[in-house]
This record gives sequence, C-alpha cells and structure tokens, in this order.
Amino acid sequence: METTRRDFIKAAAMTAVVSVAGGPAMAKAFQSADKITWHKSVCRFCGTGCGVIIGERGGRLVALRGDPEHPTTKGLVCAKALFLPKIVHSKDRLLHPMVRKGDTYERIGWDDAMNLMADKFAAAIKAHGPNSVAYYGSGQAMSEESYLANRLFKGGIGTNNVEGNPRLCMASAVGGYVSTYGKDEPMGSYDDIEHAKVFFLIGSNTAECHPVIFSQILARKQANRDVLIIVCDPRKSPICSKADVHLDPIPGYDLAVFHAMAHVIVKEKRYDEKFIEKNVQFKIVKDGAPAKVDFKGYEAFLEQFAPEKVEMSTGVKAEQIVEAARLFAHGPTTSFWTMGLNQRITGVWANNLIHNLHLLTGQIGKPGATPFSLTGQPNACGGVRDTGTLCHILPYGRAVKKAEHRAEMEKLWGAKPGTIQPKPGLNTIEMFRALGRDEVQAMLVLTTNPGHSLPNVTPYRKAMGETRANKPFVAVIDAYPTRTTELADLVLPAAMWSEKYGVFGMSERRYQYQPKVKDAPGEARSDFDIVLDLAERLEERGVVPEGYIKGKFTTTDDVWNEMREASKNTAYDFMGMTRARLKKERGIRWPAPTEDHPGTCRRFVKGDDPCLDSGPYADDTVAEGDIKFYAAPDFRATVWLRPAKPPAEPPCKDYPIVLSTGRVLEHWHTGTMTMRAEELRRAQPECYVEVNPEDAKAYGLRTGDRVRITSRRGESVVKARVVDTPRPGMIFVPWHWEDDPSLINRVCIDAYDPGSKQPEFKVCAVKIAKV
Amino acid sequence: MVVIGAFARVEVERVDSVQQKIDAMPGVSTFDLGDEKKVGILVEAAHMEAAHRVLTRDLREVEGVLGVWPVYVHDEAEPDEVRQAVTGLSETAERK
Repeated sequence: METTRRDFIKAAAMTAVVSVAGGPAMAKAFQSADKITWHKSVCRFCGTGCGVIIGERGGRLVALRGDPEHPTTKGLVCAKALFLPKIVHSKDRLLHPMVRKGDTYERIGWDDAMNLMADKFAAAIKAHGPNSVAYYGSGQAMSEESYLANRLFKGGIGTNNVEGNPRLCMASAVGGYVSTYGKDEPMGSYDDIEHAKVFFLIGSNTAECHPVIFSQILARKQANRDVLIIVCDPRKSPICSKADVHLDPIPGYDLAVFHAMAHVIVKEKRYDEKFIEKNVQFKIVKDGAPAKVDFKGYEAFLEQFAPEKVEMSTGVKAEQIVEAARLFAHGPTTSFWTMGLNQRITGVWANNLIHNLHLLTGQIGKPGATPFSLTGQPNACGGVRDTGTLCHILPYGRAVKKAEHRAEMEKLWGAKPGTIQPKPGLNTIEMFRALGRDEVQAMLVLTTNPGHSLPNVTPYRKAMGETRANKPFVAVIDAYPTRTTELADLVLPAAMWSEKYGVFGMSERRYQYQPKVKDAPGEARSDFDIVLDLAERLEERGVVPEGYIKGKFTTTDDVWNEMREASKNTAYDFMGMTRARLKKERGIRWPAPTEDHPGTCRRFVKGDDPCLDSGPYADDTVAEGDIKFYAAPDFRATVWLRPAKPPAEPPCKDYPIVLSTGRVLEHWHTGTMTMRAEELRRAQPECYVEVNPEDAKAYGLRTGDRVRITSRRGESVVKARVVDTPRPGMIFVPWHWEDDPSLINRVCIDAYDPGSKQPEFKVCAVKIAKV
Repeated sequence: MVVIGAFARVEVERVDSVQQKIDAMPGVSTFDLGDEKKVGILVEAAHMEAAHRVLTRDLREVEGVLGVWPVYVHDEAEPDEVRQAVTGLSETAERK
C-alpha cells in the first residue's frame, strides 16, 4: 500500500518536472493525488513572484510544486520555496497576543490587546497630535493590508508617518524611475529575458537571491551562444562564473564606471541619435535646481570620465569598461540590479546612470531591451510602492506634496478635505530616531523585523525596547518570535502565507492572487483583521472620524475593489483586474484598465500600453511600436548628469576595510522564515565573513578563525572564510543571523541617500582583528 | 518521506557522464526529458536535510552541471520501518 503511494508520488514529481522542463506534459497524475487538494498560489519569498501549486491534506500543507502554467516563471521555484510548508507549520509560531510585564510577556485576550493598542494610540494623538503615532509596514503584507493601513493613518488619523521596509531595499529604484521617467516601476517585463542578447547584472547576486530569474538567463545563454553576460559587482558572487565581462569596482565607486561606459558610447557614436532627439532630455542640478543641458554639454561633462581616468579611481580596467560599453550598445540589452545599486547614499543617482545607458542607446521599450530593478520581497512593489504606503506618496503614483493628489484620495476615502498632510512624514531612519527621542509615542510594526534589519541597529533597538519614563508604546504583529517582538510592548500573532487571502504584486508589475488554504494556528489573525479592528476602535475613541473605515470593509475583496477605483485613470490603471479574474488567471500585469485587457508587457509603448489608447495619457499621434514617456515632463525621459560622489564612510587609517553585507542561497532576509526550517539552518548554521586571501595574510587570518569586525558604531564577531570572492580591502558578511555577536547590522552605517532616504548598507568602513 | 523532482541544465557534451554520476548517488536517479541540455532528477530521502544537501551541494558539484532547479517537493512523515523497507534509507542513518 505504502509502496504504491510512494511510487505514485514519484510519478507525480517526474510529471511535474517533465511538464516544466521537458516536452509535452505527461498525465497530470498530481491532480488526483490521494486526498491532496491542490491550490494555485504565489511563492512567499522574493519579488520574482514564482507561481506555485500548494498541496494540502487534512489541514496541513504537504507538498509544493512550481506552476507550469505560470506565464513567466513556468514551473520553476528555488530551493527555499520547497521549505514553505515546513515553515508555515513551524512549532514556534506565535499563537496568542502577549503583553509585556517587566522583563516577561503574559498572554492576553484579543479584546484586551486591541483595547490596549487603541488606548495608547488614541492617548498619543489626543495629547500630542497625529504625528505622534507611526506605522512601519512591510513588503510582505498583502496589498490590501498595506493599503488599508495607509488609508487609516494618512486619511483617518491624519499623519504621513507611514513607512515600510521597502525603504531599506527599493527606495532608490523608485527614485531612479520617478526622476528619469516620471513614474515608478519597470516598463519592461520578464518576457524581455527571452529576447535579450546582453544581460547587464549590477550589484545583484541573481544566482542566489533570484535563482529562477538566473535560470532563465542561463537558459537563454545556453540556447544562444551569442548571448553575453556583463556583471558589475565588487564581489565575485556565483553569477561571475557565467559572466563574459566582470567589472569589479571598489565598493561605492561604480558611478564613475557607468559614466565611463556612457563616455565610450558617445565617443564611438554608439548612441541612438533619433531616439534621443525624440524622447530624451539632459539635466544637471545647479544651485539646488534641475537645469537643462544639451547633448554637447553632456558630452563635455563625460570628459572627466574617460575610461583611463576612471580606471585609477575605481579599480576597473579601462579595456573592460570599453568592452562592456560596446556590448551594452549592441544589445538588445536587459539590465537587472538590486541592493548593490540601491543600498547606497547615491542610490538614486546610480539608478539614473543605468537608465542613462539605456536612453543613450535606445535599449528600451523593445523586446529584450529594458532597465529592470529586481525586488527582494514578494510584495514590495504591489503592496508598498504601488499602494503608496511610504511617507511621501499616496496610492498609484500620487504624491503627498501635490494638492490635487491629496484631494483625489480624500474624496475616494471619504476623508475630510485637508486631512492628508501636505508634508511627507518621517522616513524610516528618522521615524526610529524620533521614537528614540520619545517624539513618536505609539508605533505599529507589521510583518517586519526592524530590531534586526535596520542599519546601526543598536540605538534603534533601544528606541523600541529600552525601559524609560515616557517610553513610547510599540505593538508588533508577526507570525514568529523575532528580534523585534522581544522589544515590543504588545505582540500580536499573525496569520501567514496560505492562511489568508489577498494579492501580491511582484517585480514585473504582475498582480497575483493567493488563496487561503488552511486556518491560522491558535488565535493568530490576518494583518487585515487586525488593522480593521484597530481602525474601528480608533473611531470609537474619536481620533478617526466615525464611519471612515467601519462598515465599509468586511473582507480584503472590499478593499481590493476600492484599490481598483484608486488606480482608475492613473498610469497604474488596473480596473480590469476583478477578483474573479485574478482567482482564475496566473496574475495580470498592469496597466489593465478593462476586464478584457490581457495586461501590459511593455509600458510607454504604443500598441502595448493601453494608457496610450484611452484615458488621460491617450495619444493617437504616436505610431504603433513607438515610445512615449507620457508621465515625464515634456514627455521626455531624463539623462542625468550626476556627480560621482564617494560613499558616506570611505575606508581610512583607523578603519581600513570596507564592509559589504548581502545574502546566501539558503536564507532570506532576517531569517524569520528560513531559520525555521532546520535543514536550511543546518546548511548555513552560522554567520561568517568572507576575507580575501591578501587581507587574510595581512591580518594573520585562516578559515575558521573568529574575527572581530568593528566600525564606529558597533562590533560583530563571526568566523572567517578565506576566499577570493571579495576584492582585496573588502569583506562580505551575510546579514541573516540574529544572534549576538553575529548581528552585523550593529556595525552597518545608517547614513542614507538624501533623495530616496535609503541607507547605505553596502559600504561602511571597519577594522578587523583575529579574536 | 521526501520526494523532490528537479532538473539540471547540463553541458551537452557531458550529458552522459553527468547522468552516470548522478545515478550513482544514493537515493538519486535521472530520467530523460527529451532535451539534450537538461536532465530530469528524482531525489528520494528520509528527510529534507539530506534532499536539500543533494540538491544544493552534491548535484552542483558534478562536472558538467550548470545549475539545478527543483519543481516539486513532497514532504510527509513516514514510519522509519516503512521507509527502510521501501528504499533502504533510514532517517537516523541519513542524518549521520
């Protein structure tokens, strides 16, 4: 009997593989697996948005496979996803609300917990005004959950102190898109992978952090010998073994490399003159304001970035820069980048310079040609960026600074005119600094772990958890105990992936529905339920207008319908994405303004982007296949003349080494999920530091030695791995481990990009010593 | 009982030796996908740790393998005696 069942499961596994990687699918045996019910869903990890099929039996998740019918990920998943069922069933899930009593926590009922939170928030608002409270959310909450929280805080309470962890990972990409094209989010899609001949991977460990994307790049290269990969990264991450050109700049000095590539493109006349003439403008910031320059002015600006000069300052050989520039211009070129570009004090500028290369060469808006920022969380795009759940924005491309945008949202939300403040709220770092000064008196942290993930985390941990007179109240919603729940005054247990339903929006503008497959354990509730409950109690206490939220929403379906309305006639328009449609289809890429619209592969391209056919951006004069940057000033994208500014904390005599942090294949972010899978934990059991052999020799280090890493802010002690992956003078530490003394974010710098407010996790100065 | 279905992208000229080396691994077998650049792989293990090790370490170390991607996992508790009778794999032994 058992043998038959095992054989059956093996056949199902083989069938799944054949259907994904082979020829025509064999019989769909898995669909009738005994007593297993299969559900179409989306992976919970990174922003790739892999389609998955979850197998549930008797209230437990027992199997998972890639969804071969998914249009872009086509059945592929990575090794982390295999552990999702196990992670959901982790034995240390939070099951009950708990309140802090001195140094311990006591169980409390939901009603008492919610009253406590509502009382604290209401008391702060009444005594100190709406800006004395704050919300810190996540790119892992459902879109409806983030939208509802944003609605409550900005339009109900009247504060823009609304932030989320995408500030730490993607804010510079947002700044890059907005300052270049006028609106956030990529114009291309994963479809471009199948057409590109050149991949430019910048500051992205794609093989470990987005393995399914890397598989597709590799497949493209495997099938076409003329497909080439250029990598720009100071660390030899696993993708470098497949790279044709590897540019390895000194950390923090890559902006000059991108300008040097542009220098080659201009000098050798490899730019697309017609495209530039029609679609591009050039700007420089002078005396604090943007000023237009002409092409000749840009050419003159680039003179300082001749490859031979740049070689001296960046450590990248001039001939490599020239080769990379020539390949890039040849194309079709797709650029992918992540944290190496974004987590910098020049993150927005670095993003601009990648866009510059695409705009100069016209490598944009054509099959295989696109600049594309990959995201690290499953719903940073759809959930936080698009819903405007950050301190300076409002839903679907609106800005808090613009009166007409505030008025539109106040009208839709039923808020009294003038409720939404015209000034951006506190950005993430400033929000936690204000908490430390007791100026923010009540904070709600939802599905994220700032007690681990913030840079220079020590003072922010004190801000959240240190006992003091007038200490602010901090409530944390999470599924697991974390380095943040241990600091909270109130801990609320959350439903996890597959225990609630809603929408995730991934990197390529695809919104995907995920179903509830099982009940949450214990008394855990969805973030949606908790935020809705809080809103109703704040209405009862008179700090949110009566009826502002209460009675309007029963389920996330209701919220979704309002979100669709909010997107109407914007560049994001997804009115056509009804709930019924999303449940049936494998996600849809916005804009999709009508129910019969299939979704948009390439934005700004006539014939593909429906915004050019109807609505406020419609233009019948644009020829089929042509681009119109309809959201940009004068309908022209901007090539920015940005200075090559150095990092906030370059190495010096006392701190001579550069620390860069990153990720490994087995773990994800602060490890709250992947560390729950024993197998993944044992595969990478402890934190480590990669040290280049040259530096190891100088410091007398061997693999296995314990190393103290000290910055101006704190220290960490981890084991050495002597490898040639980091450049000499640079060390690399993955940041997943929460234990002291491993917690590397005690060492990192919290200086941030003045535009995007994203901190510079990727570069800070440290000294190292054998312990 | 853990069963994982996966595929490897392989160097075409090494596909035969890749298959031989993978088939020699305990609990691992290959199957044809009708594509000379890919090999289907079935991993059976007593627990996920062993399966994961095969997937992320052992298979990648085989010369000619460019990368390995899982597409299916089944992970259910199974009495040790049943597992041993069927596969000869013991969870206790595998953990060692």
